[in-house]
Parts: sequence; C-alpha cells; structure tokens
Amino acid sequence: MNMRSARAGTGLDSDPALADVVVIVRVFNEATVVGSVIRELRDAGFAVIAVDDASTDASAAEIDAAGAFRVSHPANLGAGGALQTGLEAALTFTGAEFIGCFDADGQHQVKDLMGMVEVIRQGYDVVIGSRFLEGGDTQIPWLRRWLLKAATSLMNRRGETRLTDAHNGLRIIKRSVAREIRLTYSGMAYASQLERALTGSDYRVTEFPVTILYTEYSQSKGQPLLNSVNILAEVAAHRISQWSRR
Amino acid sequence: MIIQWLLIPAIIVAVLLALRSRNSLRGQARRKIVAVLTLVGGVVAVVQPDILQVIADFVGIARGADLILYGLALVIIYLVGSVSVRFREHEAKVVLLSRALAMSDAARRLHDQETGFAGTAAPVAVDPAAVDRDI
Repeated sequence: MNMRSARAGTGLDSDPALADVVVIVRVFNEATVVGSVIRELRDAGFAVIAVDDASTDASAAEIDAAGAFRVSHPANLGAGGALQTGLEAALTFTGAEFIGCFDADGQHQVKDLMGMVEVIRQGYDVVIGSRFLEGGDTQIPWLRRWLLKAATSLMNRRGETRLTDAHNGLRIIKRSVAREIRLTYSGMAYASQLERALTGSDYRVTEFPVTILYTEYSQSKGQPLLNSVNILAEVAAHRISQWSRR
Repeated sequence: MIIQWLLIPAIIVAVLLALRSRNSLRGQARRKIVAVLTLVGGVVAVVQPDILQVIADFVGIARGADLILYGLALVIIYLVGSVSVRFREHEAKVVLLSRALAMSDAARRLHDQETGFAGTAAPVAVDPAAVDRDI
C-alpha cells in the first residue's frame, strides 16, 4: 500500500493512511493562491490531481512546484468541464476508492476534507459539504444566502435526498459514483447537473458541516451573483434541447 | 383577429423547434421543405403582389407588407435559436477533444515520471535533408 515510494514525485503518491483518496483541484488563473492550497493538501498526505483549465497566468508552474499531478486543458472548458476531466483523470491514473473535490482559491479547509474522508469511509457513496448545517461557521452575505436557499429548494424538488446546500464545491464521492458522472454543461450550471446525478440514484448521500472562508481573494474570484441568471438560462435551454432525444 | 391566434403559437413553435437538437434527419428534411416553400412563396409574392394583400385581409392585418414583416420576425427568432444550439453542440465536441488531449498529455508525463525519463517534452529534432533521402 505504500504509494509514496512507488509513485514518488508524481503528485499521485499519498500518505499510506490516505492511500484510498485522491483530491481534484480545478485551477483557472489562481497562480497567487493555488501553490499554498496544493501544498497544504500534499502536506496533509493527499494525492492531488490539479486540472489546469488553460490558465493564462503562472498557475501551471505553481501546480508543478507545489507537487500535484497536473492535467492541462489546451482550451478553457469551464468549471464543469474541468471537474469532468478531473474525475476521468482520477479514474484513469489512480486506483483511489474515494475522490474529493477541493477549490483552488483557498476557501475550503483541509481539516473539513479530512473529516469528510472519515465519514465516507463509514459506508457512504457521497459526502457533500454544507455551509448551512449546524457546526459550520460560515459568514455568508445575505443576498448570496437567499439565492443559495432558493436554488437549493428548486433542486430538491426531485430527489429523495434533501440537501441544505446546493452549490458547495467541497465534496467527496466514491469511485463507483464518479464512473457514472457525465457532466456536459459548461460553466457553473454543471453544479445542478452534478447534484442531480449524485442525489437521483440510490446512493447513500450525507452532508458534512464545513466552514467556507470568504476571503477577499475568493470574493473577488467567486461567482458574481448575476451569474445565477446564466446558470438558470443554461439549464432551461439544455432541457429543451434534450427534450426530443429522450 | 386570426393573426393573433397564428402568431403567438408560431413564436412558441419557432423557439421550440430552434432549440431542439438539429441532428435528426427529419429536422434536416423539414428545413429543406421550408427553404423550398420560402422560394416558391417569394416568387409568387413578386409575380402576384395582390395575393399578399388578400392573405393579410383574411388574417386581419392591414397591409401585405406587415405580413412579410411578421414572417421575418419569426424567421429571425428561429435562426437565433438554432444557431445557438448548433454552437452549443460544436462546443461540446471541443470539450471532448480538449479533454482527450489533456488526458493523453498527462498520461505521457506520468509515464515519463514513473519510468524516470528525464528528457523534455520537445520532439526529437529531425534533419529535413535526412527525411528527404529516406523517402
């Protein structure tokens, strides 16, 4: 099980205690922070796959220096495209049983991910971070909070699994679940597609309280609120387009 | 006014048809039929302009020219929708291509790292003269 010696230096080696986990980090022009985020994950013992979504800054060099395994898109594919690539890379290049997703902008905390690893090992298929559960300690601007609640209740109308936080980037899923995911939406609308995939089947899904750090950096990089219009429009257009194919 | 009963469903149908997938053979045939009908209609409208006015009177529009205007509006709605769908489908192909490229590049680098290959990714320099000779 000692992956560290076998694949040392590839970024896919991990602490023996975490040999069953690989973490995907999507990176698009995050050169100032991605190095420290990846280093923190690596120091904790995680194997890390960083999907460089055709960054135009020094992100790729930062990823390599920080010691993650880098997969670089030749063209920008957006958040959903990068996540799909990360999942496929995790399935192809590692044998990890659990695949985690972690944001590159420093808003997630490694200790939350560690806690989620413990939870998913108890026999869950999907563990999703939530900002709204007891135990989390996130200060969310009120308009964002309201939009997130609205999106969550819209989404929850389908699956049996009730989620309290629709669009949280911190997740960990089982390998067998990852194999079933096909994200086709570009941009941020992928999140609703992903949540449907995760909660629609008979998976054992649970949430884990996490703390999101709304730093000045992540605020400036994060989703502009108006982007929710784009997301809704994309979901609607996509559903009409797919209508006749079903 | 008959025109109201025609225009509103027509707009909805134009949007739905435009947003639906283009790849079916039926859709292609439908578009060709529409093209031929447009051609025939255009010729008729030029040869017999009065017919437009007759139709306009029948559906409750004041002038035949307005009828053409409404028709054009529908065509534009349809075109914008169908072009955007086609663009989306094209984008989906680019995504698959880019991902395949990224994966094969990553696989090569991983292989190099695992086997301790220390060389660069640059292709081996080839002497063009030598290539010519070999051919």
